Amino acid sequence: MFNKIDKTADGNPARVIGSAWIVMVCLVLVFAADINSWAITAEEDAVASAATPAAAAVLKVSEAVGIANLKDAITAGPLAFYAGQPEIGARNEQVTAVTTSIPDIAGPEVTTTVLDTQTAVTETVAAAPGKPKPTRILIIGDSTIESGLGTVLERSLEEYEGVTVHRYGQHSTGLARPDYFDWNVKLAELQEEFNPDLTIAYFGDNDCQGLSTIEGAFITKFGTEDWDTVYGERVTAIVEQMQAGGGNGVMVGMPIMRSKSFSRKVERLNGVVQAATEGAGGYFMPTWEMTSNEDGKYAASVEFDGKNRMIRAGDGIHFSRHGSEYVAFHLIEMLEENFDMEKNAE
Amino acid sequence: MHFPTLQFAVFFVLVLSVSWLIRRQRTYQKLFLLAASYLFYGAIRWELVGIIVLSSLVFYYTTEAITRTEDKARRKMWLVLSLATNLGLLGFFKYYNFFIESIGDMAAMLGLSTHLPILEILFPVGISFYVFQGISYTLDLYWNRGTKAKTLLDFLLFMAFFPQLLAGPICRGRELLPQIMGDAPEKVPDVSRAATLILSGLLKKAVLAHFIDTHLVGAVFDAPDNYTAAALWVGMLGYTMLIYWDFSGYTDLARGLGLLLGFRIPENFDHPYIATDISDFWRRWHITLSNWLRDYLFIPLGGLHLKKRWFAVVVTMVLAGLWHGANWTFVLWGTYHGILLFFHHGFRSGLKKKWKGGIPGRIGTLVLVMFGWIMFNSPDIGAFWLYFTRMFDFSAAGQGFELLVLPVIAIGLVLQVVGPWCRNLYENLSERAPWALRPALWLVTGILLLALKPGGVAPYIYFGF
Repeated sequence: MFNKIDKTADGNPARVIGSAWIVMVCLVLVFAADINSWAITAEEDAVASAATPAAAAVLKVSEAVGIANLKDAITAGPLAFYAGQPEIGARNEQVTAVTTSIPDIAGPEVTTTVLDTQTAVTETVAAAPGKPKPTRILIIGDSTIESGLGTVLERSLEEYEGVTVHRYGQHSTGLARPDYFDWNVKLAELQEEFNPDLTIAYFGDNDCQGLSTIEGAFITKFGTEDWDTVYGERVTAIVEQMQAGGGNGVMVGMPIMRSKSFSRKVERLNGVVQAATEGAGGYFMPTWEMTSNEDGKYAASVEFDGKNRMIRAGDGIHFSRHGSEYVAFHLIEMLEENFDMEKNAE
Repeated sequence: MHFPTLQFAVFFVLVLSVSWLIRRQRTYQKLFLLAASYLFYGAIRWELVGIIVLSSLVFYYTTEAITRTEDKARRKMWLVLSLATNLGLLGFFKYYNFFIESIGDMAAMLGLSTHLPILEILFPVGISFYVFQGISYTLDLYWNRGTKAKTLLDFLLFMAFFPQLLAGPICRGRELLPQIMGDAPEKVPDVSRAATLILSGLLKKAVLAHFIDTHLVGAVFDAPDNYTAAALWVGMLGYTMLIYWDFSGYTDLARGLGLLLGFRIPENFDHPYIATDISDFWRRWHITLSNWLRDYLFIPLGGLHLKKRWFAVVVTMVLAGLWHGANWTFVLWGTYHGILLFFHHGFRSGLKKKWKGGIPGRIGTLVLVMFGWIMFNSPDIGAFWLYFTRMFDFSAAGQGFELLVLPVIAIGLVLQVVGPWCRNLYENLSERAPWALRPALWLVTGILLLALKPGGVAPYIYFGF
């Protein structure tokens, strides 16, 4: 069962321990910027709080030695190479230009050329009174949109008449750390590619932490009025970006969490997001109540589709497979209330 | 605390240092390693420590009772108690909600309504591995053939030793207990091999597996109806490599870390994708689980007797599938392999005359295994069928895949053949380097791996089992 060891072991423990420490110290210096960033932004983490002065000192040593930027320097090339890979093996549907008049609630009927799979027709569609009619829906957000809820929402919305859906999710992201991932930049790229008239966004899982600037400078810790102000401004900015060019923006609220402390943070974040979204003229769609029980506490399971189903994953944060279906179902009900959407006839 | 993180690196270097410093006080060293193992496990959730301690105590004391009596009835009673308690723990924590939901689905199909309680149950990572490890210990001693732990401390460390706690390999008593019970080695056994294993594990897990998951596999399996047939075929190939890199990468890390602490952990993979037939595949894939299933299920079910072989092989593989997770797709996967093995056992003598494996056998085996992986990775039977049927819909529109995934998959397949040579080359290079330069060699290799690594830390697939 064991591989044969045919070399005489010369592993003097002192040498091995010394080598391990050398390798670890070098790795700590290479990752010093990340460690410092974690220490100052991690909230209610006793280890992070205690490590803040040490992390700052390590970063100074790393800068003095000249390797503080080594990690970014060596990963930049490969990451850019990965991101720039061409796609092969795709197959597009046959497209024909269709001219359709889509009325805008704020003004007269607007004639817009869209691409769809039907043969060329020209039709004028009468507007449902007061409700925008989305045809190109973009869904963006963190890991919850990367898979799970995002997948179910995308599939469900594709069943609606005249609707094309595009989804982009990136795990470990949000609006708190634009130095790590800038959603304003990404949204602009997606808007350029896809030209959505409705954007649905889900952020928050990774935002209950300190805020930083796009250059990585620390602004403020979570839970302060400054945090509420700055984060609110970021929500306003992204909702306004979604609305640029006549589109609509929806911010989905965060669900209740199993951890009471995380729940308190999420509740605060939801308040900031709701105020900023509605202030910017966007739509806020909450998931808090639908994921709580009758006593207003965390519900791990609910009665859905005639069966008792577990709706949350083991971490008490993400949705389970059934949970994604449950939340998507209710979100779509809310979308139908606010937008002119009809399912395709079966 | 996952293996390929800085947090774990700091933890391990501290444990390594203290463990070797106190190696001559063997009892204290073992206590320290046990405390470190519980700290490692408790960092996930502190409640998990209570579960493994309970399981370990039940295994230990029931086995002690078995070995102290010659009365067959009493020995059997203690055995039943041990298995019932620990399989009960495994069944409750892993399968309760699955069975409740399945009963609900079946009732709904019959037009009945049920309101069976769904519980939010904490999932103890690694429970499938350490419960099986404990069962092998108890059964071996019941059959008077195993190695008995001298003390409770020895057994607790055997069950909780952190390099192999979360995802195996599943160690037998005779493999790990003599090392735990014996004196600590004076020197670290085979440092170059340990370093090579750790770097190999990082390459497989942090670079290759993470790349293929984030650049292809995650997306195609999440929404196969968004992708073309070509992308789905490549996705199947991608997952084939992903699950191997993920799991064997973890095993490499576990073995390397174990070696640095002075313990030799058994090999768990032997280049499974060059297997000549399905039986050969199971001699190369998750070797410790295959051997466990053979010794504690297949043979006791009558697998060595021709007439009972079909029953033993199918039942063993169905249960093997269920071991992997609480989902009908795993049961389907296990059944699929059971049927393949049954036909191979049944027609082997005839096959041998016409077909001695070779390249066609290896390719054919790989294709059969790959189709099985679609079942394994699908969230439900419907999703599997959607993926499988769409693979043959060559006119369907959809997204493609990144060009880079093809050479990455090709490298993985080539490494199945030349991997041992590459590893030996690096190990010899490390062995020949002067000691002063070895940390530099390992550090430079590690930084090169870091440069190639996509962002974030992807979770281990087998942590869900």
